[in-house]
Amino acid sequence: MDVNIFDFETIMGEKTMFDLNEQIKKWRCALVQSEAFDKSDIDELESHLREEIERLTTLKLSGEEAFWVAAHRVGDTDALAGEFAKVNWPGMLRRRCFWMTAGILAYLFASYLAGAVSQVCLFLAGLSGIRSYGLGLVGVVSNLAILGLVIFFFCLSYRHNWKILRFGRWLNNFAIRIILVVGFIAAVVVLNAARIFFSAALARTMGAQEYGQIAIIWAYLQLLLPVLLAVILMVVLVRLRSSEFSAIEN
Amino acid sequence: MAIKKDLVAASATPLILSILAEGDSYGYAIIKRVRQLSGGRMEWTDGMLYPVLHRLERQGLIKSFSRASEAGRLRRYYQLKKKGKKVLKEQKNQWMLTYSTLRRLWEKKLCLT
Repeated sequence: MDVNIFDFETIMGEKTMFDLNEQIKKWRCALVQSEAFDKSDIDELESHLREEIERLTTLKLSGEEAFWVAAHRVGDTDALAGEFAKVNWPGMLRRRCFWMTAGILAYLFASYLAGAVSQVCLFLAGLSGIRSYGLGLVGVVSNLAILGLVIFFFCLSYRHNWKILRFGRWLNNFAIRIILVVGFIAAVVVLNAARIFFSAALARTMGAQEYGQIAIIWAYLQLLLPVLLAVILMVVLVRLRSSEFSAIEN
Repeated sequence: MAIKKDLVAASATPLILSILAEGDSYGYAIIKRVRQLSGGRMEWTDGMLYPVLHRLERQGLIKSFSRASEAGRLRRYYQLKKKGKKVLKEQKNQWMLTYSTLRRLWEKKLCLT
């Protein structure tokens, strides 16, 4: 048997061998990108696609040809998304509300966490003898550090395609939903109790007048917080938006 | 001769309801039946059938259920409901009226020439 190892077509043929399942997976991914489709919609469309591919391959089309013809018949993703959105809009609205509520809860949790941690830092700094402006600075820096960590975690999970934050499907389970709600309430209570406890403890280590001065300094420094936070969140928003546009262009 | 898009859209509901009146069916088979009945001249973008089916289901004209095919693939079947039968009857009358009105006009023209 004479096999020419430099046969270009053989080499290319091997390299570009068509993998139907892989191609269908990619096709599914394009649909998943749009929020107009439910999982059951995509399953139904895939079943249709596979059936058409089967029919076309019995007509002597190759797997690749059959896939492209069938995909064309099923229709352009954007046009399909437009039609499905007209039917699925209550679900889309619910999903959007879900993420907005999740965002608000995440912000509340982050701010409670930052409040509690910075109060602990203040208490420790107070014990080690830091006073006045120094103490106020410790409070603000620790507060910002925690919020920065939360935003860093958010950006990290975004870069990894939300693999860390894929908790949406767990919420279908009623027991997990209850655990999450109870857990959130418990965390809020514990964090706020810690904040109050440590601020009271700090007040006890010094005179009321001195504590009042520190409280005023901290209040002034805290003017920084909303401004910085707003700037950081706007940067995050702009970055998210621009990456969304580049995704469309590609 | 291909049928214009808006006419295809308008006839989708009575077509689907009529096909389901023949018996329970699923998306791919419904498309196949439309193609066969129209001699391939009534071309649908296949995927566009499903939003229509889902809307009819939401309106309570049809209902869906899952059943495995002979090859073991899970299919979503659709079944005509009582309300769907009633709507089909109304639609049938409307289309018949449209058809007979147009025919009368066109036949008169034929006689004059």
